[in-house]
Amino acid sequence: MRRIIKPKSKPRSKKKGLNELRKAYEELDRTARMLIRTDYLLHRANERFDQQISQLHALHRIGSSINSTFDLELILSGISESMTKDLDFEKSGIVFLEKNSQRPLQSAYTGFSSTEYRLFLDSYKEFVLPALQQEEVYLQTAAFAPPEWAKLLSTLSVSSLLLLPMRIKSRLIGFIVGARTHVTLRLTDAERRFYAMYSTQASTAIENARLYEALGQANLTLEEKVQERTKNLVEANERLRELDQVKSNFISLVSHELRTPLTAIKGFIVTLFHYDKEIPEDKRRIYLGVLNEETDRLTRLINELLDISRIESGRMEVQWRRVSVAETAQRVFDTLSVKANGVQLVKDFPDDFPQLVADADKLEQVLINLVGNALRYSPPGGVITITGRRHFDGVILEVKDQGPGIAFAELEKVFDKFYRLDNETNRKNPGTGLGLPICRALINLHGGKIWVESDPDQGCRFIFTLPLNLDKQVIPEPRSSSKVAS
Amino acid sequence: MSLEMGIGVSSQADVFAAGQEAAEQVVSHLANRQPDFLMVFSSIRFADPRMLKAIRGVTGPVPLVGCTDAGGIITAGPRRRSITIIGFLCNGGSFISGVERNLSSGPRAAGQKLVESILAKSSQPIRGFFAFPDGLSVSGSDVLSGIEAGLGPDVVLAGGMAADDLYFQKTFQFFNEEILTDSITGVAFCGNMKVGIGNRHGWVPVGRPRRVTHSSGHIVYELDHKPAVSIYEDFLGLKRDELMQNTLASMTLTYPLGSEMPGRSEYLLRDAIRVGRAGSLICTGDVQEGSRIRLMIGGYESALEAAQQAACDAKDQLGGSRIQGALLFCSVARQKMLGSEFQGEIDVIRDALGGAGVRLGGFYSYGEMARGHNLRGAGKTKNSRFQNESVVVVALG
Repeated sequence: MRRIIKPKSKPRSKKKGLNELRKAYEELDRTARMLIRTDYLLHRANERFDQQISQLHALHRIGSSINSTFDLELILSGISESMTKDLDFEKSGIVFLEKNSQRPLQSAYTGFSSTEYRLFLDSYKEFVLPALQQEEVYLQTAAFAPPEWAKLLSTLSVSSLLLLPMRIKSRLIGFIVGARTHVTLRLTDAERRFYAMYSTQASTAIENARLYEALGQANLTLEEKVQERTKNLVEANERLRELDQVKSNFISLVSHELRTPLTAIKGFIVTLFHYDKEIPEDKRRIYLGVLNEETDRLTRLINELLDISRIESGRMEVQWRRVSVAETAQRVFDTLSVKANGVQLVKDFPDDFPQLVADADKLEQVLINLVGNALRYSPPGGVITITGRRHFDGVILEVKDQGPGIAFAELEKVFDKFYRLDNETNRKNPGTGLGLPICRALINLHGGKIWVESDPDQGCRFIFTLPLNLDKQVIPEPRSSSKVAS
Repeated sequence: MSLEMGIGVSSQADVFAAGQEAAEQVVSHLANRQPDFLMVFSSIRFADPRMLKAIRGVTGPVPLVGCTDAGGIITAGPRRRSITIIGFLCNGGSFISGVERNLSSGPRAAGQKLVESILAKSSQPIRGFFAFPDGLSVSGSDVLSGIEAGLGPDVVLAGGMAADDLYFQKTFQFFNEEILTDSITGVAFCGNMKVGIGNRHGWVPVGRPRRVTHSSGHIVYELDHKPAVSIYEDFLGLKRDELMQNTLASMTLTYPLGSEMPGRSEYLLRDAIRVGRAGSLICTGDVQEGSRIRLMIGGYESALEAAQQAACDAKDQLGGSRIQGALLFCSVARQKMLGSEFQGEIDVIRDALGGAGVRLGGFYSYGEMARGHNLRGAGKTKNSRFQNESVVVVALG
């Protein structure tokens, strides 16, 4: 029995021991699986964590480098470089689009040859733009691309091409391109999110730079405007100072011109007042004659000054009427014939000389002035001619004398206020020096021009043009019409 | 007899400027002398002939070998997204470089031909041989056996499989000014220099062993008569579709398959980089049919301890000679497993080798090759290995 029992119990305990061992072994294997699985998951989590850190690091690097400048060119090249350096794209580029046409405007690239990059940009309309409108992170790889894309990738010698649109408030402002030469990329969702963040970062930097540039430009424009206004003010100030000087000169001249006749008048009046009884009758008449002349001169001067003042201040009113210049000339001759002293007064107007619209009184004033001057300088027996001719759309008139003429250097000066030629005649015939400036102002008022031509000893020709002024509102004037009728 | 190392690194955006900058640092590191030979490792962004042209524009037309990486290593620590250049200068020594193309059409033959072509050009005894094969197209074990077949038994052999920043799509090899793929480049360090090597990983097994019931070369079809991929379905709790759709390597990189080898303290590790037909696993190196494999897991402390031990192994072999510099070929899985602490590993190695005075250069690879006189735990007859998850430390004196 013992022999039978013994061998039976031994295998049983051995088997039991073996089973326990196997159980422990299996348990250990299960524990190992748990261990590996946990280790694996921890590693995966750690990897994701590391990847996120390195992505944040890349974002931080791109952020700190491109946000440290507002220079758009530096930002573009900074982004392109970061794509290569931080994200391993052998070839990369960034393109900034024109606002309205959405065509590539400014660009920077790294790794591409110039030919490759040009070919890539050439494909913009056909491939890139539609892709940018499709996805926020667009990837094409040579291994899986449709034939037309595969052809482009092969031309660019790349295996993967990533396109990242850059948007500001949903408007496409540009895009980033990254290409891997040897690697076929496959993007995880986390990587897609990262690239979207990356392009947002780039868009913001670019938009900031553009706003800064626009602000800078506005500042510049403002500064230019301030400078321009300052310049204008300085010029205006200068002009005011000149005008002030002119005014002072004018007042000084006027005071002088007024004082001369007043001094004479005062002198003769004092003499007549104190020595009335002692002055013989003939001298008294001479004195009174001088007083009369000086008073006339003073009156004329004051009238002329008032005229000049009215013209210059724009207060001179023009009474537009239909005028026959030939008749006006005749009236002037009639008025001045008493002073002609044998000088012949001739007018030369063609039959078809037109009537024009003008202020008859002012035109008469001009002609009296010019003919009066001519008479003053004409030699006895000389001829003064008023000629009228058609001239373009108006007329041209000429008052010609046979006097001594005016030196070339003084031709223009005679139209300056108070300017008088320094000659014997003027010394004998005191004038105001305002007649010709008034003539010029009146002619200008009519829209015409006046100038003088002269050669020494050949007399003077005062020439002026007048437009017909038919567009002016004519005042019907009985006096005027009677003149025409007569 | 003195070997000098100059290190340069750059991560500039422009490929040409980056090459130029790193090369200028090398020359300046070598007291403004032109190097005799260059090793260049770079992120795939720089796999552009302009980079090599820029480098040789600075150093002159010296022989150059290298490959793309998953991160560079310089004295200060690891560098991502950069070019790492190691310039060598050796008075009385020589550097013979070579290249073999179309690696995938015959990896073993290519490895052997590479060695033979280099041996043919060498007039001095070879002390160290370094190779950088494409890390995705072939089994590292095949390449290694080819190189071994051509190389004498006393030569230290080390190298790293080219990488591509963890994309697992395409790697590149550099030879002079050529950018190649599906190739292997190599160099022999000749003359009277001293070379010591250490190779460790620190990964430990978890779970019960599984029998490799069907495998061929670097493809494992079945484990315990089930599709090999089921080991990851079981352990990671992921569905096969998920494992097929995503890059397997990016998920399983820190959990390689490990096989115990008689007489060795560490397991031989194999990364599974793709899921093949019918749920097979395509690995970076060979997996013996009939062997027992286990899933492996790395830990921070054991990884750092292993790195320190590898550095000590390499240093010990120099027999007290002053270390002029060291080359590091480090698995990208270590970088991934250590995460943000991966700087710590380089610090540990540098400290073990002698501190800040020792210049370091190297890269993160998709597989490491190591053969030495006295690799710890190696058997008497077979002391070479193609390894994953490991760090190879080569001390140069």
